[in-house]
Amino acid sequence: MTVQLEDVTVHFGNKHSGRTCALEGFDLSVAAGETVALLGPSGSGKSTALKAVAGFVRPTRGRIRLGGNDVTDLPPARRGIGVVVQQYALFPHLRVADNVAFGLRAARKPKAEVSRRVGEMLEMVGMTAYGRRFPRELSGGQQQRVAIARALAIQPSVLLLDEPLAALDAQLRADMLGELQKLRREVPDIAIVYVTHDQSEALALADRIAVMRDARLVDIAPAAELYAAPPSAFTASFLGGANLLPVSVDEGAVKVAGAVVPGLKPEDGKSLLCIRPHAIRLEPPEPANAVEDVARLVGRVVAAQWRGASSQVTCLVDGLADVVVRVDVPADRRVPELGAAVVMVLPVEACSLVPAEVG
Amino acid sequence: MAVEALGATVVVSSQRRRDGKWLWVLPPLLVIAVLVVYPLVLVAIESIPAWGDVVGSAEFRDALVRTVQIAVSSTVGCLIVGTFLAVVISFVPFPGARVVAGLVDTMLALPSFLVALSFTFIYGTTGILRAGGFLTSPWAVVLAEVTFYTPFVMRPLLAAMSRLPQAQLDVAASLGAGPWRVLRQVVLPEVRPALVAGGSLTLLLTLNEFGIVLFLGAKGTTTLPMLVHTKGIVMFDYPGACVIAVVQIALSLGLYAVLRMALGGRRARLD
Ligand SMILES: Nc1ncnc2c1ncn2[C@@H]1O[C@H](COP(=O)(O)OP(=O)(O)OP(=O)(O)O)[C@@H](O)[C@H]1O
Ligand SMILES: [Mg+2]
Repeated sequence: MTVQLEDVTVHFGNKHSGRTCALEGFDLSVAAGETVALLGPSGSGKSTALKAVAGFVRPTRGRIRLGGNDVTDLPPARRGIGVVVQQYALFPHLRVADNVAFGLRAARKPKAEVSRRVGEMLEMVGMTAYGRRFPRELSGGQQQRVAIARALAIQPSVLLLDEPLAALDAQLRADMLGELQKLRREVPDIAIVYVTHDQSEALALADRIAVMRDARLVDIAPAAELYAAPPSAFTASFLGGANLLPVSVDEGAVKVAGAVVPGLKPEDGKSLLCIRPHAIRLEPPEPANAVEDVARLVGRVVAAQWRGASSQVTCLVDGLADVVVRVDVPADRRVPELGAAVVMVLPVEACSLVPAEVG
Repeated sequence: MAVEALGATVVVSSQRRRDGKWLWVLPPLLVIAVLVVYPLVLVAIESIPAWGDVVGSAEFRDALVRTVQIAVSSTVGCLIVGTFLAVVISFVPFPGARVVAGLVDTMLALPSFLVALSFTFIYGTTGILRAGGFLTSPWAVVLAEVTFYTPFVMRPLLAAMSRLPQAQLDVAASLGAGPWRVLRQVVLPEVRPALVAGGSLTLLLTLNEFGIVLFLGAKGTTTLPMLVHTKGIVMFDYPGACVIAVVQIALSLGLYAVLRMALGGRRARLD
């Protein structure tokens, strides 16, 4: 079923406590079978958007449609949406199987069907052996599976996931990411909205990514497209931590710190060069061989962090005050010394231009 | 020899440390002994000759039954009314919910006989409702005790309900549960400890309630505390009063022990 948010605005609070605008003119459409990730920093309104779809908060303005029907005024109980919240919110006094059965019992399904469906769901998330346990007897990852099973038990056509992996440690998060991908294939027809502030989750799971900031939608596009050619500076740096370098245009050529970026066409209103840390190469300051399609920036190393598979080296560019360039140096390459003069090599095919921030 | 000596010193030193701690316990124990235990022992000793007479009397048995009846009915009433009000205050958004919650706290500070006194203005023979006979029936006592003790149930309930994670209520609703089902299957089970705590406190207090019964039920309703009062102060039957006092104390302590065991057991299983 298609989920549509049209011009949805949500305010919290009242005149006395002060009003917060948690969501402002938000438009989004998620098709059946599609996964859209809402990605944004803390407080950007991601959860609020989800709550508006689920019916937990009432929009001050705008409409919400499910499969074309306006559900803005329907209570959550009548929307038939599966919801998994960040802290899972399992019912602590109910056993795992009863948690999963909760929605089925609320719908007054016959006993036989309830137990069959609970069995199926627990099997799907690999928790068959835990049906008799209480939530407090489960690990975080197991609780998360139960929460997903509980949400899917009612056979929703829309599934909302609010930072489902945020409470898990790194290893478990990676495992669960794989499981969510597998789960996705088992319920191919439902629309999924996946809230996260972790870009790797968004890239791994989402067909499209909606980037949010300050209660607004900034950009929305297929994940690969958004990564390869970010339409805005915010998206570029939030998704993949791109370097943003101010450019100047001189005689139809794009220049960074005086160095020409060969082959890059200047575009109106786009004054930042965007390049991913892993696309930059560091070389010793030696005379360049000019055949390559690259821009060469001279600078020096100010910091280096070892990250196992790579090192992140932070450099300053000569002639660009206050701009740091982060470079991922693969483990098999030598990391330059702190303070060493280096040349940053920017391959043109990895460069794109984005508009500068307004305001 | 050497080993024994060593062992002895070890024991002594550890004993001395424990002795040091015991010293700190002594003053409060002494105070309790003098102020609480000693009078109770006197009461118990005083009561010895009168046991046969009192326990055999119909007056005593009636009062015992009446006391338990009133306490149990009042507690049940408090639980029903208190739960209802706490749910409304916590979950039904209405202007002034905070004021009402504040009023609950104020009620806790009022003396119980004041409620009884105010009842005489409403239901008394000259009162607004002129319900005459009602005032002297045990039901008036139950009603007054429900009025007075309901805040004792609401206080812990309101606290527990404010701690309920909103996400759980939201999720329950999204799973298709209506308000009634959410209340029955999510809210009430999770605030049960508070309900039990408030209920048992109320039961203990109503069992020992004196002021309300004295003000309202003087004619028709005699409870154990009333009987202690009549026998001891009015009829100068001091040993008889002491017997009833001992029964009253045993009833309270017994109930308290049972509740502690039941509650303690549950808590141990929860953690
Ligand atoms: N119940 C509420 N009452 C008042 N303000 C709220 C409420 N819920 C959210 N807000 C405010 O709305 C804004 C958006 O909140 P929201 O929870 O949607 O952020 P988020 O993007 O989900 O952030 P996070 O990643 O930290 O979960 C925040 O400024 C927050 O303070
Ligand atoms: Mg959130």
